[in-house]
Amino acid sequence: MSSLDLLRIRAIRTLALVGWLCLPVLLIWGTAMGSPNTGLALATAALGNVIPTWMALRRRHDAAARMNFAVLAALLPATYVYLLSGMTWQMDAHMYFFVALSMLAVLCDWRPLALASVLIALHHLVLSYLLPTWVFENDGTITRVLFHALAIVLQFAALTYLTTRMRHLIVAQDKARAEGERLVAEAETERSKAVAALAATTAAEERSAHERARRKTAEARLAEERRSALIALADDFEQSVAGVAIAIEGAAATLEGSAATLTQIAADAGRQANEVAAGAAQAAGATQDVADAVHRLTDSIGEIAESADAQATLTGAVRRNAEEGKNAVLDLAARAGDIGGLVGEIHEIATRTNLLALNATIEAARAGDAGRGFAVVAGEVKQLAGGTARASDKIVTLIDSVRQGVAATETNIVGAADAVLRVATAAGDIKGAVAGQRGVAAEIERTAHEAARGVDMIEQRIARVAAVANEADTLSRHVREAAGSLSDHARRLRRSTDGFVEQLRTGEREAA
Amino acid sequence: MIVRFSPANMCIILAQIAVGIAALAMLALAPPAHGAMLLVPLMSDAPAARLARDSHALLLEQGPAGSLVVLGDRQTLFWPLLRAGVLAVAAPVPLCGEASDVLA
Repeated sequence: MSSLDLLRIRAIRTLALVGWLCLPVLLIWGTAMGSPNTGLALATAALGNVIPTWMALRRRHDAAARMNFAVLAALLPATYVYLLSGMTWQMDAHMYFFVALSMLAVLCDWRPLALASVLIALHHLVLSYLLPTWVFENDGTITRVLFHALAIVLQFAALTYLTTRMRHLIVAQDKARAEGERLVAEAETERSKAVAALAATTAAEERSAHERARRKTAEARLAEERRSALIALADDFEQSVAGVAIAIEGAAATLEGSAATLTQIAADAGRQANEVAAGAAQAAGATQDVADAVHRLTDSIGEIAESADAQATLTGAVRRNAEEGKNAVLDLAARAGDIGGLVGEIHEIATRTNLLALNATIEAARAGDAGRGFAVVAGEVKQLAGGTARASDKIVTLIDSVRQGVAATETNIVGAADAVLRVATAAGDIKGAVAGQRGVAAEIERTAHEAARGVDMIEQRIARVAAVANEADTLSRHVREAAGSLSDHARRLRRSTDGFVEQLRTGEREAA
Repeated sequence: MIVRFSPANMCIILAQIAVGIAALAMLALAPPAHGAMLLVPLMSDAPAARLARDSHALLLEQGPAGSLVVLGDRQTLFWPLLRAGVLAVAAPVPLCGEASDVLA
C-alpha cells in the first residue's frame, strides 16, 4: 500500500471522527445560544454522517469514499448556519464552509473539493432565491451570494493546486523511496554475494589442500587394497575356477555314465519296440482275419434271414390254404346234412309208397280177378318202395360215415392251422433274432476293422519309436564322446588356472 | 485524470448526495420557531384556517394550492396541525409573497 493510500485512509478516519464530533458541538452550541433548531440540526448532521462513517469503517479510501466526505463537508457547515438562524452569529457560521473545504485537502484529490464547492455554491444560490433571510440575516442579496461563491471558487482553485502538487510529491516520494530500497537491496545482495564468494574461495582452498592430503592417503590405501584385492581375487579365482573345473569333470563323468546308461536303455527300447512292432503286425493280421470271419458270418446271417423270410411267406400261404380247406370241409359237412334231409324225404316217400302198394294190394284183392294184374303192379311197387327204403338207409349210413370223416378232417385241419401258426410265430422270432445278430455282427465287423487300423497305427508308431530309440542310441554315443572331451578340457583348464594364479601371486609379491 | 465509477460506487455517491440534498431541503423548509409559515393541507377538507386561529396564529394571505400563509409559533402550530392533516413549512418568498418576508 502506497503512502498516498495510507494518508487517505488516515484522513478519511479523521474526517469521520470530526463529523461525529460536530454533533456534541452542535448540541452544546445550540443549547448555549438557546437555538430552537438544535434538534433538527443534530438530526441532519447525524443523517449525513451515516454513509461516510460506514465507508471509513470498511477502510475504503477510493474516489467514491472521498466524494461521500465531500457531501458531508457541504452539509455540516449548513447545519451550523441553520442552528444559528436568526442570530447574529449566523453570518460567522459561514466561515466553516471554508474550514470544511480546507479539511478536504488532506484527501489529496481535487474532485471532492469540486463537488463540495459546487454543492455549497448551488444551495446558497437556491436558498438565496427561496429563503434569503435563512442565508443571510440581513440584506441577503444575490450580489453577496455571488461574492461568497467567488471566494469558494478561489479557495477551490488554491486547494486544487495544493492537493495536486501534494499528491505528485507523495507519489514521487514513494517512487524515490521504492527505488532507493531497491538499490539498497541490490547493494546488499551484491555485498552478500561478494562475502559469500570470498568465503567460498577460502573454503575451496582449504578443501583443495584437504583433498590433496586425502587423495594421497587414499591412493596409498587404494594401492594396498588393490594388492589385497588382487590376491583375494587370485584366491577366489583359483577356488572358483578350480571348483568349476572339478565340477565340470564330475559332471562330465556323470554325463558319460548317463550316456552309457542311455545307450543301453535306447538299445533295449529299440529291441522292445521291434518286438512290439512284430507283435502289432501279428495282431493286425489276426484282427483282419477276425474282421473277414465276421464279414462271412454277416453274410451267413443274411442268408438265414432270407430263408426265414421265405419260410414266413410259405407259412402264410399254408395257413391261408388250411383256412380254405377248413371252410371247404365245413361246407361239405353242410351239404352232407342236406343230403341226409333228402334221404329222409325219400325214405318217407318209400314208406308212403309201400302203404299205397299195400292198399292197392288190398283193393286188388277186393277186386278179385280184375284186380289181379293191379295186384301184381302193386307188388312191384311195394318191392320198389322197399328197395328205395333200403337204398336210402344205405345212403344215410354213408352220409354218417361222411360226416364222421368230415369232422375228423376238420379236427385235423384245425390242428394243422395251429401248427402252421406256431411255425409262423417261430419264423418271425427267428427273423427278429437274425436281424439283431446281423446288426451285432456288423458292429463287430466295424470294430474289428477299427481295431485293425489301430493296430496298424500302433505298428507305425512303434516303428517310429524304434527309429527314435536308434537315434537316441547314436546321440548318447556322441554325448559320451563329448563328455570325455569335456573332462579333458576341464583338466587342462585347472592346470592353466593353477599356472596363472601362481604367476599372479608371484608378480604381486615382487611388486610389494 | 478521468475516473469512471463502478455502478455500486456511483450508487453510493448518489445516495450520499441525495441525503445531503434532502437534509438541506429539510433545513430550508423546516418551519421557523416564530414567523411566517405556509400551512399546506394534506387532505382536502382539513380546516387549516380554523385550526390556525385556534392556535392563535395570524392569517396573512392565501397561498398557492389552497394553502395559507400565517404568522405564528412553531411549537403551537406544527404538531396540532399535522395531526389534523395540515403540514406547516417555512414560507418561501417566491411562493408566499413579500408579506412573509417582511413579517418574518
